[in-house]
Amino acid sequence: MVSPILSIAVALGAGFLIPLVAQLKPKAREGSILAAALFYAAVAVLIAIPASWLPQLAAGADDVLVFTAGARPPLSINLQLGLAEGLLLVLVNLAGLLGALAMQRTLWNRGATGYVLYLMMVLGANGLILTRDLFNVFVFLEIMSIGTYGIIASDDTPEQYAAGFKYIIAGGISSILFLLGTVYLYRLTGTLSIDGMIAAGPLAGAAGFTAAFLLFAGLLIELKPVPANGWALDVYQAANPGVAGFVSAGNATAVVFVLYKVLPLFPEGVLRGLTRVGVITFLAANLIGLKQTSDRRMLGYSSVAQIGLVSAALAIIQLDGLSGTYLFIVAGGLLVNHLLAKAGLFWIAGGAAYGGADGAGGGAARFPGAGPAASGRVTVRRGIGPVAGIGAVVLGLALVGLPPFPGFWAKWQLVNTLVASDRIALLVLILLGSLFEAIYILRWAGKLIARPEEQEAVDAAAGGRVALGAGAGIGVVILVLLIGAVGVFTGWYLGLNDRLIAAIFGFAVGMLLLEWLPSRVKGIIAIVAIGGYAWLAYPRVSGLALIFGAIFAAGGILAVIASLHRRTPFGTYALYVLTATGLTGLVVANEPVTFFVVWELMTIGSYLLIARSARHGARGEGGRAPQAATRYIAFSIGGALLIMVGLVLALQGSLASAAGAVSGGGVALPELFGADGYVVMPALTGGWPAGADVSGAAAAGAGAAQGAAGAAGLGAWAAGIPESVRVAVFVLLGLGFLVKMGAIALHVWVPDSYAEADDDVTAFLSSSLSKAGLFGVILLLVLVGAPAIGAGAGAGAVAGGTGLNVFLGWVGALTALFGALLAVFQEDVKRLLAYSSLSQVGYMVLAISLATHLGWVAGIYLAVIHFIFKGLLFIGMTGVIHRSGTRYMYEMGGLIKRMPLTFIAVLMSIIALSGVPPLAGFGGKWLIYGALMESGWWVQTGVAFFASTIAFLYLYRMIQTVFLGQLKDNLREVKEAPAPILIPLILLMGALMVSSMYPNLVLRPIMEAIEPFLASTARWQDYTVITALGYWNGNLVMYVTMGVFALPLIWLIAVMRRPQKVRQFNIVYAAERPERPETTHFAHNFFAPYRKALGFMTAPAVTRAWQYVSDGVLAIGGTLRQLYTGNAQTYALHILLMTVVLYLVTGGI
Amino acid sequence: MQLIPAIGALLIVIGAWGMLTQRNMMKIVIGFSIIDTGVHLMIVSVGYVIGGAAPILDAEVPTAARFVDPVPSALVLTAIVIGLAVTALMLSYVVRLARTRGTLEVGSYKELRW
Repeated sequence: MVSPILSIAVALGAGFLIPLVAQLKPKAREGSILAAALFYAAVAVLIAIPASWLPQLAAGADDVLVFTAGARPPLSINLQLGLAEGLLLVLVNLAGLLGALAMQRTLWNRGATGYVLYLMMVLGANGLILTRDLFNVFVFLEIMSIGTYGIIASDDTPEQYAAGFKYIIAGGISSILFLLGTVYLYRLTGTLSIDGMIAAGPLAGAAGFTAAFLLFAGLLIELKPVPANGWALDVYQAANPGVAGFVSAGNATAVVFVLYKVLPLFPEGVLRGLTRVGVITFLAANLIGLKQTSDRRMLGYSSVAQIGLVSAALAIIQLDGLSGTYLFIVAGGLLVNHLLAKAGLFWIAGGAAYGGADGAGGGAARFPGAGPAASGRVTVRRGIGPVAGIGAVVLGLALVGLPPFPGFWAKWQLVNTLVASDRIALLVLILLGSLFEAIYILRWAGKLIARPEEQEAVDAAAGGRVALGAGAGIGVVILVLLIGAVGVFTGWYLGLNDRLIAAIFGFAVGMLLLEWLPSRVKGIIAIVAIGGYAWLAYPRVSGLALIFGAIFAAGGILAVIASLHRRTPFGTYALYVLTATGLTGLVVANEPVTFFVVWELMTIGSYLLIARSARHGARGEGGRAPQAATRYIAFSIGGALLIMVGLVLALQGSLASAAGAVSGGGVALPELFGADGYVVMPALTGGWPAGADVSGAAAAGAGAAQGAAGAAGLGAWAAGIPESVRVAVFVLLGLGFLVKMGAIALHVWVPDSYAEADDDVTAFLSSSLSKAGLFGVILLLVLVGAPAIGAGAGAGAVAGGTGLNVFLGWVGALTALFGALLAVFQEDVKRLLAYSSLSQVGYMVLAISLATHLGWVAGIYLAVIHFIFKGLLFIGMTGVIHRSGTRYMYEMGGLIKRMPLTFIAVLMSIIALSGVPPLAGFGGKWLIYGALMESGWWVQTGVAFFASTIAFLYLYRMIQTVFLGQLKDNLREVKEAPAPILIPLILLMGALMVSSMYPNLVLRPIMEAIEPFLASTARWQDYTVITALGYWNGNLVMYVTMGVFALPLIWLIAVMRRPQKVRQFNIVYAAERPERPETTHFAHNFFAPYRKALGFMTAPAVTRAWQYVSDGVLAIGGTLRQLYTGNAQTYALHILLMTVVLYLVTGGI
Repeated sequence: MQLIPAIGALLIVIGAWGMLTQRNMMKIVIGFSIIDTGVHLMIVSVGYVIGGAAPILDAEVPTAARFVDPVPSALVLTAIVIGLAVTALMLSYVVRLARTRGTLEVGSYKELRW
């Protein structure tokens, strides 16, 4: 192992040698090859030196200290290489190496100059991380800046010159402030060593404050805070993606590390100022990011935001005196996450914008006109290579802080801290910023991976695949692997080492590696994978978890079977496996953090499935389709953030109550933190508390132990938490789960997402995924119970005041009603079914929210039955749409002759859905009404009853217009649905028949699963379930109904003689040729009279309201970004004004 | 002895005024240079001791004598060199920009914005 100072020596030496060797043979290739070889060798050494120290540093060895000139500070400059420095150096230099490879062609064209400038930039970053001397920091800052100033103009475009000029002005001001601060600090402390200054103690008086503030201001500008960052955005947009990537990954990381080193010098006022500036930057930059059309500028806004967040986190850590592991997880996690993700995203954006063979490289001459290349417009493209696609998705997901990537663990811990220290305003701002960032980053990634073959209006000239150069491609692959490894390692380190959770990734990644197989083979492997996962998970679950797990896994398998009828595009089965195993994993999760991780995985998988669907790429009717996936992810991420805060709040509440440290509504901070000041996640992974364990592992034991003692009741977990916190937890988690179900007012994402996804995907989303939210609500009631608001301190669940479950119930009832109303007036059969699902989930929520035994039986029973009949409906319609080529009911008709089996399947499911005997739906409805009346929810019963009538209308319309009536000419040759669709149909029909004949098969397990929580009020007698309000014998009902139908049939056959078959054209048609033929079809606007009566209730008020919210947010972003006028002088003014204002605000007077 | 830092501060204000008010990019660069000079003056004044000897230690100088602090002087040398490099880069950017559009007006280079 060699001294780390050699890093700097090697880089400097190579910097001087490169121009020399290039001059040896200036005209020949050899010179350039030598220069390039020297450059890459130097960068490789920069990686190797710190890497060689890492093992021993990680093992706990002391930091490596280097004293120059054989003297100690303050007489000399010293360098320090600790674990943090070592890790950052390796990663920063790796980003440097890969960035250079990504822009290799540009560097090559530049010759020695390019390599030297690039090396200088990297060298500066290395020096910044290593040095412990403040003036030396200034020198390395300038080395890095000058290198960057030079390399920005690598492609000789006018935009690059303009951006470079703005950057130099800003950098110049920054270095002046930094220099003044350094010198005055030297004057006050007598040393330039950072450690010496810190040891000199807090700086007193106005002089001390001013000196520290000048240093702070100089650094802050380099951190690019809003609004003093217009220049940085221009650089990100105009520079070569390789350069922009390193500026974002390497330069910013180095400057943040310097900030970390000098933080102890800053007075408290400055630290508080930094917290606010950081958070405001995070929010404002992400808000403006929403408005961007240039993808590289958009990534620039995201860079600015992320660095703001890291700075704020560092300031909070310093203020609260947190350190050690916490620092590594939060600040380190955010920093490394951003470093790895952003560099790769810039290269991909570069490839996307150039559309050329050498995506990230390419000099000005090779661009199709310098303009579009430099401005990096988001253009419609003809597809994307797998590396770029996977890279954009993985790095994008990592960037916005989704599991399992390091950014997620950091955010989780940060939220923990913010909640514990009552920084609610900051928390809200950070969550809003995260939401905005997730929306625009994932929207961009989603657009990139949209299916090419469906895209219309592709400009052929600008077309071509989004191909990355070989260098950028290798870089993206390495970054993807690295960021995944770091994230998984962090999770493992924090104690999340559940093999079944790891298997979710394992299976999905495995599927991705099998992409080269034929589509059908992959489908069959996917079925095996989902089934295998369920088999692995089975021993771990029982009770409610088993019931829901079965729905999730079976739904996945059936949908994959149905998908075999088409040739699926790249990645579909990997996403299917990710979503289905993720869903199944929900019931395996035995503690909150794991639950949330799995929840996010399932969300990611389903989002990508929608984004990859055929119609997402197409423009769709009225341009609706591309919005569908964006809406879905926006609502899902928003809901997930609410769930995250709710879980954190509940965790802290339960921990604090366990420690007896509850004071008022807040949670005392110190008790929550371990000795070194961070929330020890392993301590939180003790599992759901006993008696509140839906996964059944504990329930089995607890149930046996309780035996005669009866049900444990709801809300055991949160028993010790104050009522106000419980209310907050209930509202946050409830809203989060309701979003996933598409409850009324949160439903605007549902119809588009369901309608635009591939047909078999829709079947899966609608029949299985919508139950995830229901499972969440059940979990919520089990864990937290139903806190009451209104009347003082309510003792128990619904004892005093109004239980929140009543509100939940109303949400369910209204969802049931409006879902049905909206379904009635749809022309598109998939949208009709989507609204119908919404309505049915409303029933389930209504029943569950009763929090009674019968209510839960009804709700869960309906969930199981709905899974069966909605699966039938959607898969049946998949076949119809596949064969007829249309989703509009007025273009179908008479298909009963052509697709009889599908007709029977749909008929059965309609009978089940509408709750008519003899099929199982009747039992579901009967139980729900019984449960509602038992609890005295009379009005809700009325609403549910009314909604059920409306359901009959849309169901009748569907079967009438699709299967009955006249067969259309163009459908005359339609065949029965293909076998892959018929198989799940037959399976589901069988399940429906069996569960209708023998309802106890389904009901018994449900009742047993509920008993640990709620005492049973129903009992069994053979096949008859008896409740307070009556009894139901499914078996008997079936026989009676069969008899009722069979007798008239036999009688009809007996009495009818010579029946005559009426042919289709045995009718006289009017000789009219209407302009729009569909308007004369009876199926079009089928329920016009009802629309007159009820139409006002279906006015899209909620959609409009959300549109206002969205427009408002975008308008704010649009106004804010007017700050960035593009004028270098204005930017200088911003910087100076911000400095002055901060000086005044942080305590300069 | 407050004159030198006062002059330095005055130069900084003048330079900043020039940088913020002049539309000509050359003049902006000159403003920047003036700020730089002011900063250098302020740094030198930090280490200066009135009547102090030059900080060159040898056998003939009594160690108890009052020296001018050599560190700020050393710093200022480095700062001047760096300032020179940055100014040169700024000027070359101005030249390249002026070539693309034939004007030195700072407001005419704002395609990149928002």
